[in-house]
Amino acid sequence: MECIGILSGGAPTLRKYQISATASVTGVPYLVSAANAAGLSVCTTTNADNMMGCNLDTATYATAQQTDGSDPAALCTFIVNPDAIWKIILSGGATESTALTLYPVTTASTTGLAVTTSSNADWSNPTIDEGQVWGYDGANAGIVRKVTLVSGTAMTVTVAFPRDTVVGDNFMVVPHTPVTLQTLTLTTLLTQARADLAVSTSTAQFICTGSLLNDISENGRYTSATRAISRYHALNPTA
Amino acid sequence: MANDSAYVHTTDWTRPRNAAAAAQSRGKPSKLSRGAWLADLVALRKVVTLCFKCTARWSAKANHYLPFEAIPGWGKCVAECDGCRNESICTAFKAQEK
Repeated sequence: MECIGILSGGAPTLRKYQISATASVTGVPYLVSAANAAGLSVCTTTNADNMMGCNLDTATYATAQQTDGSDPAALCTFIVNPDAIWKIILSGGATESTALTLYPVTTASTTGLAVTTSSNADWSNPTIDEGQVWGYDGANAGIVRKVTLVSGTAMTVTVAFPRDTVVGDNFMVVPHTPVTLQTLTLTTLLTQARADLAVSTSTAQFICTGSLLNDISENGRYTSATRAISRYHALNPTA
Repeated sequence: MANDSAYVHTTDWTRPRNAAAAAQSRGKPSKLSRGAWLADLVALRKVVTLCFKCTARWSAKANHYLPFEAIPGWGKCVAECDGCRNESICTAFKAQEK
């Protein structure tokens, strides 16, 4: 994850904290220490409560006294602003940088209110309702709409796409919408968010403040992202 | 006058903010020189944050460090200076591949 701004407009605040496990990847959310842990704990794919921030550097965790007398405590630097906006790349699977799935239109819509894809996709299970659908190519490339109704292979939007959806046009979906309380499932290395899983109440709590949903001209299958702030930040007094 | 109900302050270490405070690095040990502390951070390739005074006295280039923007467009950050331990506006430096 990459910090791209502070919601209140201030400067980033950096702090160094001890960690309780080796940090080999940067941009991973860390949580307040679990009981009996030596420092901040790495989050999980489904839990980011009491988040402190994402690490900017790496460290090797050690507990034993060192023969050279050096301090064995492992430190990492974090951006700790509670309202830090994190850019989270969307992944099509559990592995980082998995391409987002393309869904070609199989039935055209002359009203621009429906995106109907093949029977391989059932938009009600896992549900994409309240998520977003956007054009990857075709006449509606780059146009984003909120999904308000799902039924089998059809997604319905309330505000029409500006142009008819044509058979063969590719669309992509993400199971969350900006400025709503959403829960994300993170990828294996905890640096990206999975776009292939439906919203669930038991996953990592973020508030999505915006989306960066790209089309074919910007390699949208690998560069689309969501912007989110932590809902349960350890330093947020209102949490 | 005797006080039979003295208040004893206790810290609730289960509160997230207190737990986080306990894990915060204390920075440069008091008996370690600034240069030695910075050398330790550089050896471990940590992010180094320095105020404008300490930045002028430390060669980032010689240590293969470059200033970086913690947030794109923000050249400064709020941090405890790794040189003088003052909380101030700092420049963050990141290690580069040698």
